[in-house]
Formats: sequence, C-alpha cells, structure tokens
Amino acid sequence: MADANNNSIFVMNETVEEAFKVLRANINFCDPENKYKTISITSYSPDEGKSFASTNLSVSMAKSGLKILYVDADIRKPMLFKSLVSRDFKGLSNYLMGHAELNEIINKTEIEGFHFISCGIKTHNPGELICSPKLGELLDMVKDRYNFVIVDTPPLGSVIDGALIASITDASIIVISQNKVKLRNAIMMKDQLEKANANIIGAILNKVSKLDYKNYYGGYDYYGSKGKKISKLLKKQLIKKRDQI
Amino acid sequence: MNLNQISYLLFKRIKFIIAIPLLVSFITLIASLTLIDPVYKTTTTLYIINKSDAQKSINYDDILTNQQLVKDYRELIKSRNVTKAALEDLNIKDLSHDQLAKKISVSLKTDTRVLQISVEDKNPKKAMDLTNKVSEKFIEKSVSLMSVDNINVVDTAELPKIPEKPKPFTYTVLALFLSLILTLGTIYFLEYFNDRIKSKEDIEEYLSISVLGTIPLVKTNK
Repeated sequence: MADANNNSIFVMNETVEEAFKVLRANINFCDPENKYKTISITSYSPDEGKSFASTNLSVSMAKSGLKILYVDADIRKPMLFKSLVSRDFKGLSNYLMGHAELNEIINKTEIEGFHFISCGIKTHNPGELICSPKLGELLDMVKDRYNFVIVDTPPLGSVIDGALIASITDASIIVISQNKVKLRNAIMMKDQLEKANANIIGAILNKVSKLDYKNYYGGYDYYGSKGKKISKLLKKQLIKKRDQI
Repeated sequence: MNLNQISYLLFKRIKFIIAIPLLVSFITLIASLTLIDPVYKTTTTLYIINKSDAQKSINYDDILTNQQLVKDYRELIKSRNVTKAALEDLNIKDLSHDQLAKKISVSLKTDTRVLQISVEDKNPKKAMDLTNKVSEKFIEKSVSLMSVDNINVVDTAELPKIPEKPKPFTYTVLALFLSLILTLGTIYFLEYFNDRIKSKEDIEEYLSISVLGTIPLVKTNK
C-alpha cells in the first residue's frame, strides 16, 4: 500500500463538518440493515461538488470509526484538478488496463480508516475502461474489506459513465448544486439513472448560499446571528424587569 | 409564492433593490440638470362669453357647451390664420406657423369658461410675446371666426422666472419610483421563470428524491 499525504482538503469549518455528519447519519438511516456497501456519487454537470461531497463524506464516515475506501472513477478529468492523487500516479485506469495490482493502487492517508484509489493516468479510451467488467470485479473485491466504498463518477450530463457505475453499485446519491441545474436536466438525469437500474437513495443539495443555509437549514449557531443575540438580551432584560416587579 | 418567500426574496436581493433605483434616479437627476435645455411656459387667461347668453346668467348647459367648445377654440387658436398673423406682427422669421402651433396649448379651467392659452419656448421673453400676441390675434379674429365678440383678457402673460421644464426633482422622484417598480418586477419574474433547482423542497417535490443532506458553500483555496 502506498502512502499519500493529502491532508489539506480535509481542513473544514465546523458548519460544513456538521452538515456532513447529518448526511452520514441520514445515509445510515436509509440503510438500517447495512446492505449498501458501494455508493456511487453522481451529478448532472461538472463542478457541482461531487468530489468535494464524496471525499468529505468518506472522511466523515472514517472519523466515525468506519473503514472507508474512496474510489475516484472520474478518469476523464485531468489529474491536475484532483485533490486526491497518489504519489506514483497509479490509480484506477492503470488497474483497469491491467498495468497495476489492486494493492498497488489503494492509498492510505493520515486519516485512520480512510483509504483511496485515485483516478490514475489519462487514457485515450476511458469509456471502454469504465464499461469493462474489471471495475465490477474490483468493487466486489474491496467490498468485504471496507464498511463503505464511495465511488466518485464523472458528470452524467456529459458522459454515460456515471450511469454505468451507478448500475454496478448498491446505491447512488445525486449531488445537486444550488441554482445550477435546470429542472428538466435533473429529471433527465434521474430517468437515465433509473434506466440503468440504479438505486437512488437520495440527493445532496450542495453549495447552498450562506444566507439560505442560515435561514432554512440551520447552522445558525456556527455562523452566529446578531438577531438571536439581541433577542436573547431583550429576553434577559424582560426577565429582570419582571423579577423587579 | 407565499408572502414569506416573497419577503425572503426581497431580503436576498436587497442590494439590487436599493442600488438600482438610486443609480437610475441619480442619472436622471444629472441628465435633467445638464442635458435638457430649460423651456419656459407663459400663460394668458381669457374669459369667453357667447353673444347669445350675454344677457342671461350662466347655467350648467353653457358650461358643458363650453367644454365641447374648447376643442374648437384650440383648433382656432392653432390655426394658420391666427399663428401666421402673430408671427408676422412679432417679425419672427425662424419659426413656421406649424412649429408655433405645436408650442401652443389650450385648456379650459374645469367647470368655468375661463380659457388658458400657453406657449412654451426656450427663450422666456419670446414665449411671453408669443403668448400675448396669439391671444391678441385670437380675440381680434374671434368675431369673424366664431361670431363671439365678447372675449376679455383676465391675465396677460408675464415673464417667467422658473423654467417649466426640466423639473429635476419631479423627474428624479418619478425615476426612483419607476425603477423601483421595474427592479422589483424583474426580480420577481427572474425568480418565477428560474427553473433551476434552488431548494430541498424543489428536489423532493419535482424529482421525488429524498434529500439526505445540505452542504453550505465553502470557499476553497483552489
């Protein structure tokens, strides 16, 4: 097993960390019998935060004491834009082409219980590689070693890989970035996934603006709210007055 | 959209709602102060008594008649007959009778037989002269034109001190309100026709997928 030092992406603020804890808990609620071993993460367009969501979800799960393997199956995106890269640049594509062994491509990290397989070198036929049965075999092999295998996929709006991977994983989660995806595209993506027989267990609403997050989704206490403080002060004053009377 | 959503939307876009109208009204103010040449307006007031009813007191019908007659007066005052004569008298060459007709406005004070003739011009003195001359010629020709020989001048035109146009303050207030309404309308319509997924509810309602988590936007140092 190789070692990789990629601690920089896991520096998070409390609010985000809390959001991922909620996500982690909700995934567990979906799956009371622990049937889901492999979870694919898809989205419609690039840059909706699939990798961000899937890596942080993996880390969050690992921190709760589970053994997690994160697989970067987006072998089309240049390595330059990746946050998780193994030292020897070997990864999934090398394995699928038969140029590397499974143990060579699994990387340990500084976080206990969080291992990852990076995307590997860029190839001229990523589509064929994803279609190959080797990917399914790989997933079957690692299933038993880990509590969860989180598979990051390319955007469904551009390539079909996401649906192929979703069809061979136990569950899929769709990442939807706020104010980015048009409704009909989202519906198209859902239909595509259903055609592929994917088991969509839910969605993640990502990149929610601070204001919306404060107003709708909690996270109040972390961002701090003047309004709340003022109302607390007022309440205190009122209580004081009442006591005096 | 319910009231809550609307107020939240306004709260979210408050920067635009404040900034755009302020900017527009500021531009309007500057433009009205610098770009528009001032126009002066002078008015004469005439009192018209028809020959037939010089003897009897005025009743409501007469006033109604006058309301209808004001259109006739307007056409007559603007007629070539009157305007040409006025221009010739004042010896003004740079103005055709058509152009003068466009500068003249005629109105009847509500429920009276008091007629007001106004002329607008960039030069205040010229406006005054034209107004007086047009009224004079109208009275002169009134007998032959409409067999009314009883028109009295109540007020002659005076030299105006304040221009009629532009009124920077009025324009600015108007621009403020209009742009505010337009901004609000635009914000509402953009929101209404925005078919991008905005909330947890959107996902649950339209895609019937349960939302497992919402992640706030964080600035990454990429």
